[in-house]
Amino acid sequence: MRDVIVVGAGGGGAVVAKELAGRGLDVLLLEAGARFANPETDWTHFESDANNPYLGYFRFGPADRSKAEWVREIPQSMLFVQLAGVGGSTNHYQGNSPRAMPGAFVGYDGADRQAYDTDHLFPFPYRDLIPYYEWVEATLPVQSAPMGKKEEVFFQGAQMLGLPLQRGKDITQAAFRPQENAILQPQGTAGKTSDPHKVSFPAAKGCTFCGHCSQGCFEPLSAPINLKAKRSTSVSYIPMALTADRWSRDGKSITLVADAFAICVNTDGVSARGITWRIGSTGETFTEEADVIILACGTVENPRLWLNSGLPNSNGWVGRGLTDHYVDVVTGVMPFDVATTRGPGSNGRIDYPGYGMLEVVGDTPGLRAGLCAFSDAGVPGFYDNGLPGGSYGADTVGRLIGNDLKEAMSNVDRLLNIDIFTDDDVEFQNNVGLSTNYPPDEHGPVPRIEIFQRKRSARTIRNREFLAQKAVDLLRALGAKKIHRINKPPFVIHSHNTMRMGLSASDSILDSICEARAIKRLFIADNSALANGIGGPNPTLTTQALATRTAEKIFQQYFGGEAWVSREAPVASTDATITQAFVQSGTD
Amino acid sequence: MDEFQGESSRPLPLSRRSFVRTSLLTTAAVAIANSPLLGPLLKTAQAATPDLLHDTFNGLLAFIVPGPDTYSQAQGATSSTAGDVEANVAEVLIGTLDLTVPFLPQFSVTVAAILNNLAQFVNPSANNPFSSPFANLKYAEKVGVLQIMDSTDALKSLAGVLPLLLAALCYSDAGAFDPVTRNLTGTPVGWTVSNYSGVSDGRDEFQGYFQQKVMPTQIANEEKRHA
Repeated sequence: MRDVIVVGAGGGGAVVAKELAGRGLDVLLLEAGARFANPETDWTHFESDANNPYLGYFRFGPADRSKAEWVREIPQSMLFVQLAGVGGSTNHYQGNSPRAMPGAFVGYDGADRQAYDTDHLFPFPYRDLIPYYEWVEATLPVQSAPMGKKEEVFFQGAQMLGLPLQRGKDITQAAFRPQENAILQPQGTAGKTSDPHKVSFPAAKGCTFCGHCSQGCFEPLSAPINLKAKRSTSVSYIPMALTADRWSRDGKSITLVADAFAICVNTDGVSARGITWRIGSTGETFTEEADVIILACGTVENPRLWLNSGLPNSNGWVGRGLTDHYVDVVTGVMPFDVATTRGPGSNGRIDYPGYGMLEVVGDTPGLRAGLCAFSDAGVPGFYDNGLPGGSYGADTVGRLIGNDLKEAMSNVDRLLNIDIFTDDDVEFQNNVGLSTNYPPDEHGPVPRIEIFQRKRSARTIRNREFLAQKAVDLLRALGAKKIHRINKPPFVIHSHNTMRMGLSASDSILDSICEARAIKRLFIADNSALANGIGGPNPTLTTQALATRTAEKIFQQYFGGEAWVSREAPVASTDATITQAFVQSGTD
Repeated sequence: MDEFQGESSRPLPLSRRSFVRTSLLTTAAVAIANSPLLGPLLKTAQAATPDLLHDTFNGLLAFIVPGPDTYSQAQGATSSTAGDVEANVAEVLIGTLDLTVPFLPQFSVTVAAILNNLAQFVNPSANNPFSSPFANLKYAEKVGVLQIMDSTDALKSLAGVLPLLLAALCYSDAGAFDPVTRNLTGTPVGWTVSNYSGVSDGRDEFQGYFQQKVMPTQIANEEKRHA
């Protein structure tokens, strides 16, 4: 019998596993997807290899790419981007690690306190999370991001709009800033040469400005796994969890099992007792028991596993309240090179408390072209498909196809892309449930995801329109030759709240320490546990801080331990002890 | 053409024998398979010839990313630089459609049949020069087909994914990527027409730190913590 079983080795599960392993608990970590132990051979820079949603290594599917991806019913035009495998969606994220908007928490008394989703606040004050933010920021580590060309230009635009520079980590006003991100700052030759023979470790350390965040980071070449530039949990928290006996006096290394898809949470009706999982390559099933079970399978698979396990859903909120930041994109065709495909994924942002945020984003040409053509607003000049959304001076609103797309893509490095992440409301209607239309797969009834794009709350729609206008204004101030607002259907790269914590038992699944209200000893530690969309910022850091807090609460409540975050200094995931452990074991 | 009102789809009586494998294209395929208007197309679609299939998808490829090719010329919207047809992605597209929706054999044929049937609705006299009515449409008429798909519940998902997929295929490395060697067989057309410099392990693009903001506040916090 284990002390703890954690299901899911993504952005949250890896954190709670590492923290509890550091306390000496016996932790089993299950991951449904691939192991991704060696990113330098597992991954390439090619879009077809990585990002093909059906066959790429970054799909939501089994490690064996000859097998099909795992099915989800999505009865509408929607792109739900979620990765399987150790590291989860942090493998393709851009490392952005901002803190949440303080107004998303109970007790916030700022003048704009009514501007947020006040019906669904976090059940504890923002200041309570700060020590956990600091702990994670030191562990990953999170650092102020350097600039590429597009960031330089973006910051000029922000200043033209009259925005101040935000200097601290806590969001206090509408302001711009370099991202605080989980990407090691460039040192040596990194970022200073395009010569492929000169960007290997140790001559190059940190971000090499390769421009391939979305295909997975394995730079600098030859770097030990815990010194890869982008701090996906596969190269930060997982190496720490696997070497907990080396960097922690009381630590006990975890057991990690990949290709293990959890199919049932076992309970005695009062408390969680164990997990049953299926090994993809053999079809075998296994069951183990533990004192505490922690689910971190993501915003879709958590409610699916809950419902397939027959766990209680008395208030009907399992899988409900899905927020996705109601994403949109505004792209400017600039009269000069902004290095869209070269350099950081996104190292600049503007926060608008109460509304959301804007990010300047670069990516590879296939992804950019595909996203330009993915709209719910018809074809510019022909029809708008009845979707609300103003132009605010943009030249087009809707799909970019035909010669409009050709013209925009004629020099991809002149596209200044601004992604819009809206502070959207938790709404019961947007949900993950079980499909009654599709047959079950080998893991049981499959999930069904639905977002009512045309029936969002008035505040959500207002916020997105506000941000779209700001994005157009910024691009116009910078002298964009053409501006295109895409007006997207649900493009879900941030998803949250489907097993939310909350103040009220009537609209939440988890209590204030992320323990299930209905089943004791059962916790949730990923984006689905968040109480709301945190006001628009990228959710990963907040999820990781919350997972750290959850680990501490578990250790105190069920293992008689003491809190550590306020009285200890964290070990960084780049620590030499961890590097040496991997080098000595020959696994790196 | 609107079969169902609102965004919430009704339960679809998909046969339980079906083994559903994917999400995005499957959503489109299931909706089509269970549509009283579109379901009958599945039977007639199987009679499609390879020429009809390729003509249809070349007409679609030219619509999303035009070039100097004959399909672009036929639609009256061309480009002097290579487009989707020249990008060598037609087979990748057909393979993707077929591979990922196995419960509808040759889903690509179904998609082609839908496009061609809607094309005949938009312009019944579009009979030349290709075997595919869709490929014979003018650009604005092809937009009309997309508009019908956008407003038809059973086709909305397909209308969303097809432009995304075709644009991504054209501008990515798909036409030159060898999945066996996991390397390229040549320079992808999309890279050339977008002026993309290609993949790299590093770039000379570091522009420094904004106002020398190199010292993270987190480090300052750490110093304070250890003081």
